[in-house]
Amino acid sequence: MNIQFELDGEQRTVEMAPDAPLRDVLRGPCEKTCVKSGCDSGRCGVCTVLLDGEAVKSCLVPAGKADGATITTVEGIEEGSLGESVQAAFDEAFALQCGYCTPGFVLTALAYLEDDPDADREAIRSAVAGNACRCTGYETILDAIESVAEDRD
Amino acid sequence: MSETVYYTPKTVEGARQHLATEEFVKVVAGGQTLMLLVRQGFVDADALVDVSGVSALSGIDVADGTATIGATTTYRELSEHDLGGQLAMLGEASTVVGDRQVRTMGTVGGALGHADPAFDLLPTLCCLDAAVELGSTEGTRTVPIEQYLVGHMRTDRDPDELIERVRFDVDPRMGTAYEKHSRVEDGWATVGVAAAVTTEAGRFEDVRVGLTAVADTAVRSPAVEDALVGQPVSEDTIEAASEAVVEDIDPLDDLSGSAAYKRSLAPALVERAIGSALERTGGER
Repeated sequence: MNIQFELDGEQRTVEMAPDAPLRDVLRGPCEKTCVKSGCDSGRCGVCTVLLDGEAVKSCLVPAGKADGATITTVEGIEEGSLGESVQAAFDEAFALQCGYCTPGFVLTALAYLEDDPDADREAIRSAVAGNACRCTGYETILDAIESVAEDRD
Repeated sequence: MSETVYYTPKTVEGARQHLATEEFVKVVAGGQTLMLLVRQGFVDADALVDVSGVSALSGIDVADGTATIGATTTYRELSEHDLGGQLAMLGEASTVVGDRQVRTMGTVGGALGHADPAFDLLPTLCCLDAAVELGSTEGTRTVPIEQYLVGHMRTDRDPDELIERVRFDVDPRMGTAYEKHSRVEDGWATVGVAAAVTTEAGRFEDVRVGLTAVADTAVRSPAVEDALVGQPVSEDTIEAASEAVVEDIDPLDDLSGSAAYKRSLAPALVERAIGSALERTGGER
C-alpha cells in the first residue's frame, strides 16, 4: 500500500503493508531510529509517537492509519516549542540514564501537557503510566514533567 | 509483502459494503487489539476496513432516558465525558484500561468485537442491559448484550456485520460503580465488578451486578441480585448477599490470578461495587 503522510514537517510516501506496525514504517524506510522498539506489544511505550498530535504506541497502530496523517517524533520537536521545554526539563532534572525510553516519555508528556495545563504530579504519573523506564528513573522523570507544568502557570 | 487491502470508508453504508464483498475481512477502529493478533500471526486478513473516519459511528449521546455510544468512541472520550452518577461506572471502567496511549485509540466497538473475557467495559454494559446494534448490507439488528456475548472471545456478530453502537436505558435514580483488582496498576483484571442499583424507601429496588475475568465471558450475577432486591439497605445485607456471587462464576487460573483467588476476591469486590454504587443513587434510601 502507498502511504503518504507528513513526518516531522516533511511529506513522505512509502510502500508498506497496511497491517505492518507504524513503528516499522518509521524505523525502516523513514529511518527514524529515534522511535525505539521494545516490547512489541503495547506495554513499554518506547515506540510512542504523536499521530495527529495524540501520543500513540506505534507498535499498535497499523501503518494504514498513517495515510493522510501528521506524525511527529522527537526529531520533529521545534525550537522554542513546549516540546523543547520538556526536553530541556529532562536534561535539567537528570530524568534519563540510558536514554532508551526518553523519546517515548518526552512525547507522551508533551501530548499530555498540551491537553491538560493544570497537571499535578498524580495526574502526570497516570498520564505516563504507559511508559516504562528500566533505569528506575521515574521520580526524576515526574520532576521534569512537573517542572514544565509549573513553569507554564 | 502482505497483500492486505486497507479501506477507509467515510460512511456506514460504505463500511458495510466492504464487509459484504471481501472474503476474510477485519474491522479496524483503534487497532490496539488487532495489531497484537496480527503480530502473533492469528490474523492475516485479505482486507482491513478502518472505520475510524465514519463520523456516524462516533460519540456519546444521553437524552430522554436513553444513552447511545457509537462504536468508534474511544476509552478516553468515555472517561472524559461527564456521564453523571448514573453512568459513573462507564468512566471508571474506561479509565483503568491499559494506559493513556491505548485509551486514546481503543474503542467501545473494539471491546465488543474482540470480547476478551477480561475486558473491563463488558460487565458494565451487561449491568446496563445494553443492546448491541449490528449493521450489514441486509439491514440492522439489535442484540441484547448477554445474548451477544456467546463465550470466550465469541460473539453473535456475523463476519459481514459491523458493530455500530450500543444503546441502553438510563434510570435517573440509578447509581453505578466499577471496582477492579489487577496484578499491576491498569493491568488486566484479576476480577472486575460493575454494579448498578436503585433504592426505594430504604430497600433495594433494582440491583444488577456484572463481572469480568471470572468466566468464559462477562457475566451477570443473578444470585447476588435476587438476594438483595426488596431487602433493606444495610452493610450486613450487602455483605451476606455478596457471598452468593460464587454461584454465578466459573473462573480459570490465568496470569492475573488463580481460580481460587478469584473466587475469594469476587465477593469482596461485589460488596465494594454495590457500596460505591449506592452512594451515587438519586433515590430515597
